[in-house]
Amino acid sequence: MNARNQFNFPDEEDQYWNENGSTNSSFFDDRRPNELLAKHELTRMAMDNLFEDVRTPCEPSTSKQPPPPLQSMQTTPTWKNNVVFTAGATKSATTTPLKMEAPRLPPKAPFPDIGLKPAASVVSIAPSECSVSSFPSDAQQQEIDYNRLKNEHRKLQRHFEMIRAERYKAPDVRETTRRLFMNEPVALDLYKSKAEKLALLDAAIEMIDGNVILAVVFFIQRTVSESIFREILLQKPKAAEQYIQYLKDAKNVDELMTTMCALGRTTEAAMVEFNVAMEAKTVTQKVILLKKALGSTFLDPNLQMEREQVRRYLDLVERQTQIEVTDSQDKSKLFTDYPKNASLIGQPAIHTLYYSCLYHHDDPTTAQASPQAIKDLCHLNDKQLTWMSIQTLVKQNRWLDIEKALCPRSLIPNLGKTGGYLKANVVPMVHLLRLLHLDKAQPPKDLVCRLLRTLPNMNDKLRFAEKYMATEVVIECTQQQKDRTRLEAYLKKLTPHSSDHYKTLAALNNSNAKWK
Amino acid sequence: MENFIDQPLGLVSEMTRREFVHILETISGTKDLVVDRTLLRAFDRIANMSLLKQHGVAGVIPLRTDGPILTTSEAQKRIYLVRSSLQMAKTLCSLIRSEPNLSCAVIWVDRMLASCSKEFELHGVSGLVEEYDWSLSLVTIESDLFSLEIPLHLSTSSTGDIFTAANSLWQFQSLYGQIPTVYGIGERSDEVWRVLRRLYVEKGEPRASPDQPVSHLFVLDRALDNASVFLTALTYESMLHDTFGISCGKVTFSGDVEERLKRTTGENGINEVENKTSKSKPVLLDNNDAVFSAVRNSHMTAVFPFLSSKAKEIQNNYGKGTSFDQVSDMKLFVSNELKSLKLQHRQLETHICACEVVLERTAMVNASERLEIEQAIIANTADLNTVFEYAENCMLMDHSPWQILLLICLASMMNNGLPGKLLNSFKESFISSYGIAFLSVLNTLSKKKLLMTRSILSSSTSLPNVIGVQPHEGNSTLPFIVKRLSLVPAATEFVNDFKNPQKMNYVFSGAYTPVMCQVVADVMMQGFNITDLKKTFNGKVFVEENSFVPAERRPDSRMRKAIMVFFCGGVTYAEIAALRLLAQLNSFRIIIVATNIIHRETYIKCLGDVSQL
Repeated sequence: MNARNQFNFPDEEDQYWNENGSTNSSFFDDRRPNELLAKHELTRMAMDNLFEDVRTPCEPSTSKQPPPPLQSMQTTPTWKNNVVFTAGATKSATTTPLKMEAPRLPPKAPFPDIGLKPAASVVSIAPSECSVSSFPSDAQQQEIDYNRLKNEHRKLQRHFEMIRAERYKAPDVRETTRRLFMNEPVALDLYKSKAEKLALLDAAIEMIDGNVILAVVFFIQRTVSESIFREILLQKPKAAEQYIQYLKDAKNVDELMTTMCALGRTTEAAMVEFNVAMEAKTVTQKVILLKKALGSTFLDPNLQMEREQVRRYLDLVERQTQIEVTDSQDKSKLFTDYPKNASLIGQPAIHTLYYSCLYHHDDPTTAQASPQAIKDLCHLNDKQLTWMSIQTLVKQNRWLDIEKALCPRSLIPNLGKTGGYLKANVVPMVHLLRLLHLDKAQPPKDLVCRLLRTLPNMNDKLRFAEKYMATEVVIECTQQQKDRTRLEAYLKKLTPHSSDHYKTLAALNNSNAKWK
Repeated sequence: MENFIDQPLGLVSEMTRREFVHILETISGTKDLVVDRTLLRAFDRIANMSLLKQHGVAGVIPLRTDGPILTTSEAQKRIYLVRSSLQMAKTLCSLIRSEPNLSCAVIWVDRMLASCSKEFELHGVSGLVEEYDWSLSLVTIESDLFSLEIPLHLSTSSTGDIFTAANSLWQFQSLYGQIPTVYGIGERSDEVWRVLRRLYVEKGEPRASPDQPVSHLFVLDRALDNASVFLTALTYESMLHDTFGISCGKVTFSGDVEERLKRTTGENGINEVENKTSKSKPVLLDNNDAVFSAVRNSHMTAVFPFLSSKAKEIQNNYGKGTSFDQVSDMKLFVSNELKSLKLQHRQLETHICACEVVLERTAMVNASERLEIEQAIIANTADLNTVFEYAENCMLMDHSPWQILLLICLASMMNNGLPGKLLNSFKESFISSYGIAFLSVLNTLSKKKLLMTRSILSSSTSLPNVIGVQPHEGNSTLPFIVKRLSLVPAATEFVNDFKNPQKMNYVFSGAYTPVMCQVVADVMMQGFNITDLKKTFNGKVFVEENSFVPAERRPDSRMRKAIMVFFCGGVTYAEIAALRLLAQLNSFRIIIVATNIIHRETYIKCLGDVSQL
């Protein structure tokens, strides 16, 4: 400072030296070494001072040689390598201490007592105020700077020590679940106590994200005994739901059923067992598995209907097997006319009924393969039986038998006489007519007409008659309704010179009929 | 490749594409891209082959699980692009282990899941492959329709699509700015919103931007309205979807349509070769197809009249070609109009054939009778015996079991459960007809309260005059919602004019307005009334205000901003059509976003928790 004052030019003429002097170094070449020396000494002193002070609290057993200031920085790489996150360590290894302090850290940082700002200020202060060129400006300023540096260094040191000490301590549950949410690596193994695990699970459930919940559930399952795990699942239905969904996806049936039973969801467990049985490749296996299920999960009182259905299925399969065995030796014409294309075993009840109607329609009702027997076995109703018989009989053009099927048993002796006795009401007329014309079948016109005449509603009657070309009924209806135009329109649809055409023409030309 | 930026919400697609390119560039060397089949069409919308080639992709191969994957010889690496699921992780494990010398990378769509990572670890695959996360986000289906294309079975399960939905909303807002006003209804919507808040904390809260094209966002929960899915909708697009299945805006017609097309084009002498190349190729359905854009939202009864008038018009235009005297006129006609005429001609033929097949198939399953019954059910005038008799006839005719379940579930919901005797006999016949395997489906549907026995208590309240009784717990029943929002018109105001529809219920032939669409319409007209909606749905309702405009105020179409409607759990084409009509009638712009577009049969299968049937 004195040296500087020496070169202060009081004269006005020389004053410009005062302003430019400091920058124009060539004038002060002789002074430079001194000043630099001073700088060095001061820095050295300050640094030594700083580090010696700080070292004392954290390393009580002082080694003689104070480490060079850089050493603390050099330890960081080893620190890096030491951090081994047990779960998925790959990404975390690159995390440097500086990154830990990156401003991205959320407000709820794990170490709220350590201000993060000072760390940043070290970086900003260092080049400006403490740079070597501006160093010897003011002793007081220096003092302040040193103190500040010292404090900051101390804080950082403490922070670092703390992280070092806590690297194997479980971080805050919210921090962990946050990292799970962002798919960042975490060390879950640090949560040792059950309370910690539950807290972690709670935090995960709070995140809503199923993936986070599942990750924590996996961890808990891995680290606690089965009974405790089940207890936890019972307490946390959300977690249980995720876990069950996972087991379903994983097709881990045994665990799925055990879990469901443990959660008291026995009906669901029964359904799981049932579905497994359904996935079996052969019917024989299915039967074995279903029988097993009937003896275990299906005993649930809420599954009465299901149990009954499974029993019926088992009975049906038994019957189907018998029929299959007998029919395989049967060389009757029916089997060559309508070759079987699939095995009967395992087919639904209705298909079995269809099969029975097709191949065993004429069997005595007491025979095991007769339609009536199948109907009784499967608890099917009259409608289903009639429907299937008609469908199969139409296929074989057995029109007389169709009439029998439609006819109430007591009236069979009267068969052949025309009249409205056909019990068409079991199968709705619209379907009955459709069935009769299935696959371009040609039912006798007489049968269709008789069926149509049973219809009470004139409009329906006419509509169906027109659709299925029941000329007689069309003529009757139109004459009753005195609707000549409709009959004329109907005439146009008929092929000329057919008998229907002539009949219609005759009706139109009939002078007795009265038209509107 | 076309530029996304000019398209509506194009920035989202652009960013998705750039992110993918970034991942491709991160993976060194030439590579084969093996793509999950469920992602193919959606992926095709983001990146085309030339773009992929530019970034070192030698070939794109669909992922097969049944055999070895044929790859191009020059590729050094293989990249699997898959939707993350446990099933997929298992497949990948076996694929990767079968070819240990091949260097692989996996791009998980949306993100790596804990279950996948566990599977990889278990099979020693972790560390063998490079792993990346990539979110597909909003796939543009149409200028007003975006889908996340999440498979339905994922979005109906509990693990769900919540993160994906929230993430896509975050992405959208980070690009276009925060949406000023947000309304949410339903449990799932609430969860999506809470996850979104979490994303704000992690990834940064979007800033408000004056350029934000969306002024209001509705986050809606599918679970609140199953009826719209169970009912048969009658718009053309919806019926096409039911019949052929539209996926990602494309449809593959079945053989009978192709055959018809071939026959007609043969008669008209249009180039056969051209037709052959288009055979069994998926047809793109969008507004660029002039014919389709005109009829897509029309009621089926209005489609044929339009198509025939269009046919006449085209014929007249062709006729113009023969009436020219001057050669120059003819030249002008050939160079200007002929091409577009031919294109229209072909489009028209396609749609006429498709339409015929749709009608034929619906006639085959007695659709008109079914529609009558559906309308009676929703109007609560149906005789349940008739409904069950119809169902029984359908079973005897061997119709699709799923269609029957849709109908019966609707009846159950609308009647607060069904009489036990009827329901039990239905279940018995159902199993007799379709096999014992349906036992678990019926059980699951019962458990989800979609197919339930009417309790003695509720049977007394289901009389038409007291259906407005609110249950004490759980979501509101369908009859209650129907009454609160007046979704079913009174018999007097039943309108049958479907050519110029004035009401959203035209999608169901005037019988019913989809719940969600009615909510949007009500808010549009009267503003958002949170207490009212809470009472209606008896569930979570939230509202968020990020602007000075009070959230209760109704949206103003003069602001020239769009309303975004986000469906968690999927949307149906019927709802889309209804919202389009709403937008048109009130001169609003409505952007529809959904986790997926629902196919009705798939939906009921997912509800029945079917994996194998």
